[in-house]
Amino acid sequence: MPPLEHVLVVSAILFSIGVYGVLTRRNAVNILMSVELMLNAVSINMVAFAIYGRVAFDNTFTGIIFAFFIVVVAAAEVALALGIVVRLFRNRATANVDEVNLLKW
Amino acid sequence: MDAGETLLLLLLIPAGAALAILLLPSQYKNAVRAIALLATLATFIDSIYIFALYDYQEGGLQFDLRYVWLENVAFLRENGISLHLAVDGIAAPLVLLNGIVAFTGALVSWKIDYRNKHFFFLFLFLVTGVFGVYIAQDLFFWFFAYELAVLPMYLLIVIWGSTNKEYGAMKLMMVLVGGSVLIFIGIFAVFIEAGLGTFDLPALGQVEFDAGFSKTFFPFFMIGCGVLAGLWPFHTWSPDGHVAAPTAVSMLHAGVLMKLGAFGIVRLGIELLPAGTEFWMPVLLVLGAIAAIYGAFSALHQHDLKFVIGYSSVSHMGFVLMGLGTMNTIGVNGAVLQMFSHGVMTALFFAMVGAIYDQAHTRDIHAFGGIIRKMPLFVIFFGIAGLASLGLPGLSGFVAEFHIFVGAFDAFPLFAAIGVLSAAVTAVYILRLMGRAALGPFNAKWESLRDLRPYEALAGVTLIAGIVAMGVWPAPFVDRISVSVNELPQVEQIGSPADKLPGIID
Amino acid sequence: MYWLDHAWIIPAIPACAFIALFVLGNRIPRGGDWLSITAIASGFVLFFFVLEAHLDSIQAGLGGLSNVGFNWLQFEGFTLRIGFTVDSIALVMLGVVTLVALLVQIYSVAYMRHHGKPEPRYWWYFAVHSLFVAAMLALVLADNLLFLYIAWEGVGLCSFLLIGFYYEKRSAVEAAKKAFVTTRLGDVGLLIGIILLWRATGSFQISDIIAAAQAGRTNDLAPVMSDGYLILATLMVFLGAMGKSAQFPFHVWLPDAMEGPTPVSALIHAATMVVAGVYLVARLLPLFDATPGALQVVTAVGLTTALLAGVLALVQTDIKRVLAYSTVSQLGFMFVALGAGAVGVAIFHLLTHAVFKALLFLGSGSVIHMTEEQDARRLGGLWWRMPITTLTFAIGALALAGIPPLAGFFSKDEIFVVVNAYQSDVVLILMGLAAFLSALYMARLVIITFLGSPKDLAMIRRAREAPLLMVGPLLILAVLTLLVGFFAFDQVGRALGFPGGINNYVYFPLPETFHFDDTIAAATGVASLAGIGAAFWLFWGRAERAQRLAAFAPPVTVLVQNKFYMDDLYQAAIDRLVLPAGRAVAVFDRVVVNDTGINGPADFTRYGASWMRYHVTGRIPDYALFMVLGIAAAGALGFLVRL
Repeated sequence: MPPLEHVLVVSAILFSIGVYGVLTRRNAVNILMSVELMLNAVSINMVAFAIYGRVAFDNTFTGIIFAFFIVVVAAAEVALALGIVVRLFRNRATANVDEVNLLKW
Repeated sequence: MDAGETLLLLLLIPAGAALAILLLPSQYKNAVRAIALLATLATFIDSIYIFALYDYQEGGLQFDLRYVWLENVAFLRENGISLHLAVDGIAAPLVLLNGIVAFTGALVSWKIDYRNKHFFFLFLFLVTGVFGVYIAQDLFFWFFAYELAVLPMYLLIVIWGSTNKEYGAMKLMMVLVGGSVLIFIGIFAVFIEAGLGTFDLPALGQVEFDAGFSKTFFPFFMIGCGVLAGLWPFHTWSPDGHVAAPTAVSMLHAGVLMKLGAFGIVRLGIELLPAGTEFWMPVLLVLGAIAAIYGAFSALHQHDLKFVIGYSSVSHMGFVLMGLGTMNTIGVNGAVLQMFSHGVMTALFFAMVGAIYDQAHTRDIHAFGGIIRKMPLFVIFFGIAGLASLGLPGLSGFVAEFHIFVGAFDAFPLFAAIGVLSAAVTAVYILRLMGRAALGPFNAKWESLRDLRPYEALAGVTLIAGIVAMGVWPAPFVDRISVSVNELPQVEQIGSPADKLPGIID
Repeated sequence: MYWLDHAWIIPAIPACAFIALFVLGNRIPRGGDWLSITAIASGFVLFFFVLEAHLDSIQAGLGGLSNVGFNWLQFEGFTLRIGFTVDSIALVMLGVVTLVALLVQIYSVAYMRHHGKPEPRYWWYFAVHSLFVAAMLALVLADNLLFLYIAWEGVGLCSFLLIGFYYEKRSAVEAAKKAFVTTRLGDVGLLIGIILLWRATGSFQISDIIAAAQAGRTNDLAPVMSDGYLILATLMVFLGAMGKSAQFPFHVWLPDAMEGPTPVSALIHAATMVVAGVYLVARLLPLFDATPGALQVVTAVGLTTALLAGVLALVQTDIKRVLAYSTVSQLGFMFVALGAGAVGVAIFHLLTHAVFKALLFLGSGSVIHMTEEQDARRLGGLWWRMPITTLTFAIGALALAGIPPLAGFFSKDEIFVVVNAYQSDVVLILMGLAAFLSALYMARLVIITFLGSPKDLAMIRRAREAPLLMVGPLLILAVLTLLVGFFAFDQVGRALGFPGGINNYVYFPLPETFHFDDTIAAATGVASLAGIGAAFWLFWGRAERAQRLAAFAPPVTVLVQNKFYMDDLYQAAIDRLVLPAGRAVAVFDRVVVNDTGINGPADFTRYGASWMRYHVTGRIPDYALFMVLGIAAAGALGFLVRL
């Protein structure tokens, strides 16, 4: 097995790509995909710690369970968010988040 | 059926009916009304049953029921958070009160047509919350029910209210939630200080808290709950809320919701923190006396019927706080009696005001005149409420106020005298109101007024039955209340003639 | 002895009648007047059973006291009791109330009809009458102060409802309100007094309280209450008596209370309810006796009222208002008698006054009913149209003036005897003046109403003698007015079963037999005759002498005609003090408590938010950026703290 640090670096890179995507993309679908990347980065972290720290954590699967939680939540979230995006597109004929700024004072 | 389950029914019936109403299509308006009415009638009967079967010879908590929800996890230990229901002698009459007011409130709401499905849904949840506060013996669920009782108020007022309703509703919400925050802090402080890992009230009641802790955290309960009881100077949400609220909500608001505050002071403050109680009660008594006279004088100047009654509520709730502040058996007894008495009395007031406002679309006293000619039944009912409010013997107000005055004179004669005086001012504003609006020369503008509709009359008669029952035969109430008041820590007994007059009488 | 222990049945009957009338209302045939009258008539009959039982008990040496009741409410040492006691004072009151109420109700059957048709709310009139009788009898029989207070408020409520019976009239509503609020102010005192007495003794029983007050004063027991405390409590109780009995400075409500139907004035505002204050003080006299200075206060209040009301009665032109002020004045006489410690005398005057004042009011009622006019200036010369009314009214007036051998003479003479014996000469002289005034105003009233020449011929032509149902009670009361004074004599009392006359019967520490003092009797007789003579001299014919007298000192006349500005003073106090206080509190509540205290923080929050809101752009990428920066900052902080 590769050392833990390698996995963490992969996870960090993935997370950073996600952050970069969220900050720079203007299309709502792109933003959603970036968010998914971030979530997956977190999941990788969880699983990695769960496996590499098995001895320290007394053989429990808490980390893996959390990863599953994240997958489920992410799926629900995407379903909801895509629903919103579709409604948005229907109403405004755009998925560009710069043009949607109703949510302010 | 086992005793405890009847108590659970108090929560299940209105909550279940609320959900059932939510499932109905909204055009079935009469079905909605029927379900709401039947549900409140059932809880009314259930509350009578509980009141009647509370064994006052035994005392203590009865109808005990416990479903453990969470225990032995994280910071929780045995019985950590459990749905623990029970009534004591103080809660029993208040459960009955809520039963009466909920039933009559549903009756007078019969005429609501706009979104009546949602109205009754929220109304029934409010009722559930109020019952929950009275019967919950677990701090977690107590607070849950407390919030459940308060939150629907906002929507009920904003959607179905009148007269400056956004302002009234927002103020009510903000002030009450502010109070809740204090209670919340207090609850956690008590939970952590006790270190038992349980929110169970009887268990926490056994803990002897440090006097300093007690004195520090009692005000959180006193002010947090007191806000809901119209504690001066945090009372202004109440008259404005009354004015904005629809009839049935005013009834619940003044009739039972304000009692939750005073009840909270007993349940959380006096029962959990005796040392703090002893230290802070004189303050409560003084604030109560101020509220009594202040509310009465304020009411003197109002000319909107609901404002008059709203301020009279402040005044009467002042009596309740005064009674609690005496910290002797007679005064605290009187406070609980007054909670019941004021509950049925103001519910009657607001039911009647609603009946006339629906037709006249004004509540200005000066706009009316001699309407007894058109609405004799209305005037009689309103008059009975008024007489109860000014403390006429034979009606409930006298019994309650008399106990409070006796208790207060024993503890703080000066403030007691202020209380008696404010009862006299009550007579002035009630008679002024009656004389202006109901009696005197008939104002021909109101030729089209009709008397009470049958369901309004039924609601009125039900409430009057409560007023008269307590005024004529208060013993059943006092039996139940006194047995639990006696068990409160720090509440002292006042001597009997035999103690006070040794050798003079036998 | 059965009836001695079951006297509670007497108030219970009209109470049941009230409930039936209240619930069924107009559905009872004839508006239920027969029900009410039957209830009271049976009470009157039962009174004799109770009286007989009482006299038997006294003769058997059992003391004639009874005490039955039950605990209404009880916990720990706190007991509220509904208890009934029968003693001689209660019995006298029982007789007075049932008799006058019975006659008044019979009279009302005719009075409350116009041209054979009952007035609107006829049933309500009788319902409240029944309630009143029940409450009044309960008040009389109560053995503890709390129950007494309950009944006390009950009669106050009935008075309020009946004064406001013609509630379409603004003036009637105002008068009812004034009566209720004024007496209520006194009641506040009474309630405080009762609670203060309870605080010291732990009991509401009258006997316990008296025993506690006497401890350390009339016996060697350890005192229970300090002097100051006792004085405060007793005077508070007396405040209640002053309010109910319309004593100075609470006298203002009674003349206004004449807005009610006249039979109501006769029953409630002359014969029964207003004497409740006298009754209360009589009942608690040992308490007043034990309290230093209390009896002097009672005397002073009574004397002031007797004189003040006597003067005011002189200038009133409304028949009923004259009678109202005379009632106030006579109540003052009773308080003076009580101030001298003579319970029997006060109760005797109460008895005779009830009879002749009811007679006078009912007489004025028949004038008002038949002529529909109650301003004496437009009446006059009624005697040949209404001979029986005139005759009976004159008998009542002479009795009030104190002409022998009518009832008023004996009772008033008794008062003078005790005043002479126990009070200073100043009091005696002032009382003589008050007696002179009462003769003067009564004779004036008779002259300008019934005698002389008619002032309004159309009205005189309309006037007829009242129907039998109204004249009958008048005649009965007139006969009683002639006879009842002789109750004072030992021989009469012996024949009826209470040796020693009524004063001896109405017990209390030292037996007071009737001392007929020739000098005093002659003096009061002369004062009364002088009053009547003066009235004829002043008011006969066109009353020119009276007008000249009024013109002699205009400021005094104006002062008296405006009732010494006392009503105006109270009105001003309400308008300038109480209502502005209400306004001040209401404005304070709005401006300071609400707009500053509650809205202030809310506005502050809103103001802060109006500045803070600019970071809310509504653009999602901005939010995302803030989130990332926030998390980065949190992470950095975490590192720093860890290092």
